[in-house]
Amino acid sequence: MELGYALSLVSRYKREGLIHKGTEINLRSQLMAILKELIMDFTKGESTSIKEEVAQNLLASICYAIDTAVCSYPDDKRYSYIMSKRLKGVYNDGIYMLNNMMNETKAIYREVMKSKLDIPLEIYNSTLDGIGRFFKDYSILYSAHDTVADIDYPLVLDEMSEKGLIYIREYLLMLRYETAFVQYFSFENVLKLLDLYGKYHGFNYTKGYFNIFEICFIQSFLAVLAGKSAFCLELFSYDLDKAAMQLRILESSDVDKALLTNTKKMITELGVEEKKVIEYINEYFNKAFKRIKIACDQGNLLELGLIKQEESVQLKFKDGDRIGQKRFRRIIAELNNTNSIKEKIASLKNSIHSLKDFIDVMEADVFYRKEFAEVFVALDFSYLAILYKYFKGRNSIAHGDNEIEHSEGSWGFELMEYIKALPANVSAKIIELADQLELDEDLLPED
Amino acid sequence: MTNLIRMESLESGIRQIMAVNKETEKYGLTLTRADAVEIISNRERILKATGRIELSYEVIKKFIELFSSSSYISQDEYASVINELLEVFYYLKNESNDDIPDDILIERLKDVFENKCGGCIELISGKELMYIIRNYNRKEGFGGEEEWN
Repeated sequence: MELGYALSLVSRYKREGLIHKGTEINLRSQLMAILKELIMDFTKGESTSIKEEVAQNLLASICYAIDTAVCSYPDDKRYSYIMSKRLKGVYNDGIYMLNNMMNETKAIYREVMKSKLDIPLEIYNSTLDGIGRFFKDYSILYSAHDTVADIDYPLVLDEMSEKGLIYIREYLLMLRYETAFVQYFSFENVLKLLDLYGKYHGFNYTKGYFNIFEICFIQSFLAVLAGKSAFCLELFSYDLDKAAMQLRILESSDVDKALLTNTKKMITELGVEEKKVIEYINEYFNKAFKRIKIACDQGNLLELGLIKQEESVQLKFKDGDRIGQKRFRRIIAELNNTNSIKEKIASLKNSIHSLKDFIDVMEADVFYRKEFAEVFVALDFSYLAILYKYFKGRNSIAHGDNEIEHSEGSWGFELMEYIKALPANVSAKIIELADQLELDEDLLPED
Repeated sequence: MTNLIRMESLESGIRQIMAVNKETEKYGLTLTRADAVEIISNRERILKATGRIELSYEVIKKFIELFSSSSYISQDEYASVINELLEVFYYLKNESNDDIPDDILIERLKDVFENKCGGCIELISGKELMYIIRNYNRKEGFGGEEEWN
């Protein structure tokens, strides 16, 4: 809605010969009468003249109210509405509509503030504060057209040419839809993603200029494309490779369909039900489609999403301090004199802090066969992984990679049996951890 | 948009100004149609020069009504005095940032014209104008005496 829409409509009708020049002049006189009245109101009746820029502002405000009323009618009814009501009536209708719109916009703002994202992004928070101040500074009578607010936070579909209250209302509605979408994800995951975004682009994300909805949308979209959950915002390079591979085997027109289906799948999986939010997501997808398609065609999804670097596969184990020989012998004697396995394990935990010492205790015949399992139960996965790594390392030196020492009753044998007996995902985790471990050679006892 | 605002009815203005003659003729002062045209045209020039907009002739009428009783104005110079007073008036409106209401400013100018400057419009300039602006207090009006050389 351009400012002075109603005036330009009348001018157009006059140019097309649909109305007389006198009608146009008459309408302009009506407009001046409204302005004259507003000037008196603005100056509280104390002045009949004002500065030109003030007058222009007041006139723009009048036109904004008139245009608001006129544009509430369908195109073909607008001119007859202006003629039937006279401009003052149209203006009053406009003021009435703007007052209603103000109440509605305040309600939307309250809703947005209640559900606002608790994210330390400066432009996001300062924009919301700015809109709060807008309601105090905005005047429907004197500056209806003015968007007296610093709106810095960019929305994905904010290409409106609107001004004033109408713009603020539309902005808040879109922000509400975006917020609703982001709230489908775990707050911690969103923060991690934004942090990753900042690191990727080389800045502190809290001071960045970006749109949260867009980042979450793209990440979730790619997650679904990679066969992961729509709630997953953490992607690795192999996820994008997988997604790219899925698309590579399709024909170009099928790629378009696949991308569209992917969005629907994402929406369904997230459980988005609000129609307006779904429409907003789809509208954004349509806007972003070209960019997504180009990245897919080029097989370069890294252009779109953010990947987390795989964690380092080298976990260094640093052994604790060894105890002296005398003390070691005393501990062994205590363990041999203890019948309770619980007491043995407690003593072990309190006294032994070195892997080498632990192995030496394991090999000192202080535990019976069945007691080993209880010792292993008391250890966490990482320690079990260390023992596994140690045992396999020693065993490969003695017997080669493919054989395990079969010495029933030995701690190593019992360890392997214990790990084998664990649930498959647990034993796999221990073995995976062991593979990532690096033991210093001096940690291996001399054979 | 400025041109739109400036499209006023000249004829209406002339009629309104001429109508005030009924009040002023008892003081021996009247304005002809030519005088009215000149005053309106002069006002337009001043408004443009001072960057102001006015959609009525109230100020002109008030000047005519108030100053017609001045003992210092003769029929010969009547229109030109009004023109010069208008120039001072709109200048002061800008300088005071529209802080002084029209009626109060016009009355103040009358007071200065009559009681300080002996009807000499040239004396209402420079320092005197600043006194007017500075000495105006929104709550008290022009309370207190200004300093005059």
